[in-house]
Amino acid sequence: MTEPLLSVHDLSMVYLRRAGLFGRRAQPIRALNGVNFTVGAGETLGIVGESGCGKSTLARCLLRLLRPSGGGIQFDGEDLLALKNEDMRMMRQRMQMVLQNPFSSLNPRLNGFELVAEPLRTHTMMSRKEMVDRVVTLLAEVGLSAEFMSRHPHQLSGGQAQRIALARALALNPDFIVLDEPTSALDVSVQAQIINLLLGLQRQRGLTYLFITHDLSVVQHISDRIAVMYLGKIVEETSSEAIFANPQHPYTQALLSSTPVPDPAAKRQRIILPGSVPSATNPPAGCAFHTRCPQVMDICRMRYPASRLVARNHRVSCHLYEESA
Amino acid sequence: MTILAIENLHVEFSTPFGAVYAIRGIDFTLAKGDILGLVGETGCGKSVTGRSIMRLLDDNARITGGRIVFEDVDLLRLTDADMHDIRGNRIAMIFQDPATALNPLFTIGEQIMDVLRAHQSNGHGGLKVRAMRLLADVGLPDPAQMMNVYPHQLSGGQQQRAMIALSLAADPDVIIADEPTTALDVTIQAQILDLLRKLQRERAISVLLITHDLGIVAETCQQVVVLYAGRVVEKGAVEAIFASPQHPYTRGLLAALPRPGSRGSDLQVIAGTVPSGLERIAGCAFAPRCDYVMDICRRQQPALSFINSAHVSACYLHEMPKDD
Amino acid sequence: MKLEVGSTLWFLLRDRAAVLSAVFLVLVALSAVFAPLLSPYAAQGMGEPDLRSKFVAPGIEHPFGTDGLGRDQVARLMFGARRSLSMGLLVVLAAIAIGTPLGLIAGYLGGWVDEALMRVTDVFLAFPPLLLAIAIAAALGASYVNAVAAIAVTWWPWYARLARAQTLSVRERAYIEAARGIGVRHRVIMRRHVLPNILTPIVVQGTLDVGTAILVAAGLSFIGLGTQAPYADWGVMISDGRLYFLSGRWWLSTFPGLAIFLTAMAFNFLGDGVRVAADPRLRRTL
Repeated sequence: MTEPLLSVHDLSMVYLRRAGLFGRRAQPIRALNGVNFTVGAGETLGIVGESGCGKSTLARCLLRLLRPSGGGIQFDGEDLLALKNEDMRMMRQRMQMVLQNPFSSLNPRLNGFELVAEPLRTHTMMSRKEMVDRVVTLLAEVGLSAEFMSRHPHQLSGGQAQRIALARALALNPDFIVLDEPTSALDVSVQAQIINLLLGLQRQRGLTYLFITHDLSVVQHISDRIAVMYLGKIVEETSSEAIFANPQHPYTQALLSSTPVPDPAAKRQRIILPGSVPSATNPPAGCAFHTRCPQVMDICRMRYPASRLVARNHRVSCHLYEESA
Repeated sequence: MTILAIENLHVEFSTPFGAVYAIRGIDFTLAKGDILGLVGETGCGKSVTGRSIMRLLDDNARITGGRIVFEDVDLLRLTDADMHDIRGNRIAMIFQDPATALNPLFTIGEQIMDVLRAHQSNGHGGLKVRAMRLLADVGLPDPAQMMNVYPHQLSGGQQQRAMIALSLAADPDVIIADEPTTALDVTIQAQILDLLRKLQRERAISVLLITHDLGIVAETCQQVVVLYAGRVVEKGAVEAIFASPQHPYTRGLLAALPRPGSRGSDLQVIAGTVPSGLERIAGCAFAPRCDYVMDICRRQQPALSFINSAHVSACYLHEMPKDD
Repeated sequence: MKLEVGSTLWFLLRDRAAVLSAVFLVLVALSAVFAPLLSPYAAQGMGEPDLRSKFVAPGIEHPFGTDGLGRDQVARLMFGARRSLSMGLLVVLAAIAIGTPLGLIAGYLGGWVDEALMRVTDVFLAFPPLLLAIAIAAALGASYVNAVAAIAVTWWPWYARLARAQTLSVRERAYIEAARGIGVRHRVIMRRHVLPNILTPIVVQGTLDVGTAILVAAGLSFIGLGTQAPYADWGVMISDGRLYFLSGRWWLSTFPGLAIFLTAMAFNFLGDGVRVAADPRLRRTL
């Protein structure tokens, strides 16, 4: 593989949540706890995890909408965390974001033209005429006709609104797009349309995606590689095929087995995990998954397992694989 | 044996833009002890159906036709007082967001004991013992302690379990579960679905499971009803419908799902969009999006016809002579 | 947003009290604007005396009677409406114009800016508003403009607080984050994304407040700090007539009093109607 477009090392993010009567007691929340990964140009990395695993915090840190509390982010050789505010603002032309619910991520008072033209207005000196031309082209690229320029978000279906959000993200020809659950709020038939659109745009424009979701079947369809997160850490990372064919981490296995499959004939061994994800204010010692793990051992409660390569391009953090390595 | 039958149900909403036809004639039956999945996309009328059964529709909604028969009684003809006795007592409902359905001011124990007291359902032991047994039944850890906690002290999954315990308190015959796991994580969803299956097995409760997720239907239900634009397009046994879906809409939905091994390839899509509830639809509601559309589809609404004894579908394709 | 305006109107038209109030206010406003054309005593409305017809009781010629300088009270009321209504409106508009941007900036930026601004509003809100307005009006000198300014100065902190509270909630919306992700400057985010989305409750509050503002303005005029002779507003008219009330010339204070009462009430009903109609959660009560 060539030089990665994005590389993240030891990224951590600690929030302080004020608690107590007068907000004097500040509880630290470890949303990200040493996250490492790289994304090559033109590649799609899927990030999978349940609520509270830190995947949305990760997205916001990558785009520096939040300031990480530690670690580093390199984008095309630039240290993002060292950039001045104005330089970071310019850098946003190259990295864009699409959020889960288009109806909340699009300002309800703006129409289609204003929404899609906003990045152009922000970063270019285009005349109104040029902007209209560009917006029409962008709308066509996401499969919408020019008449959508005068529509407001409430006049759109979920799929149409998400297309507007995509056109907006594409306006400045970015290299990299963070997709934060872009299809989770959509119906199945619309989800398929948006996935196809994302795949097509990637082929035509050579885009690099970071695709964040809780839905394993969606993420395997679009990603080259998948990283599974649990409580602020990546517990397993490998190719999209290997995650399904050969999941190693007990959490990944449980996640796979919990995902409903639309086939009543599939007789599967269900792994039903007990309890729920522990609070990030007070994460368990050792491996954070040990409180729910069906294969927990003594060492899991004491020490966090190092990340091991169990096969080519297959990293796992689990004590089950410590000895074999 | 049928416990709940929906017959030719019609529901309308009045809005600033005119009448919205939310349900345009729905028929299905829930058999005793079954889990029936009511599945469809946004706006198909699945939640409105659930609320119609409970008679919990918003003020601007009107049931304009049909019957809802529960044990030989048409619920739509009951007085409000009689309906109140049915609601919660015989038919209970659990919602997508348990946090809004539980009273934040009372402990879980108090809420369950209230219901037990009000419904005077038969059981052994005192109220407290029975309440704790219910909490244990739904898999909440440490029932004695759970009695004394308030809803906000529970996680999302635990709240949904508490909600289910509450709905079981009156020992209902039917539970209507409206997207009960949509707000939950996958691993928690698996727990709740497992619990529903267990309740069905052990208490012979009938469940109407309203969901948008075909995977959940396949794993949890015996029967399935597929809705499109306020009408039933296909219904029958889960195995039959998933193995050989007949209606082009059902086929399209199943084909649109990403599955392992399909990576990077384009998914099959259903072109176009769902018709607006404001439209009156003469023919088949799916006709404008259907690949197999014929002239008659636009003029006349297809009736549900038998594919086999366990499977019906509303499509003119089945009435065509098969060439083989 | 088009839908919002359209459906708000749809629901508003179902509120009988609000519709009646709106009709009443439009009539009052029209009679004020076209007073010179509508009244045969326009000159008297502007203050010209007619000493031949002093203290005429209400009758066919003068439905609301005449005052001690023989001026037709209907004409006085219509011309007085110009001042009373405009004072109420100007006070609210000025208060919104000052309070909204300050509250928006404080809420959006947070930190010490927010802290400083909120302490300033605390100082203003610590005084009884009418007393403060009287003090300021007295210090500035008695006149129509100064009375408006004095009341607006006591009023803007309410709008600053409202705008701040609304901004705090709008600031957390996903579209604000999306705009930041694009690299839109804070200035532009505040103007294009925050401002239009906090206006609805401010407009509702403004409608409710016009009635109260008319009342307070009339109060200042009543004690001589507002409109000056020969012109009159409703407050001045009540003040002029109060000496004669017990001697049987009841009409002098009664009709302007009724005008203030009805107008203030109409603004309240209308504001309440708009508040309910603009809020989907409250619409069910209609």
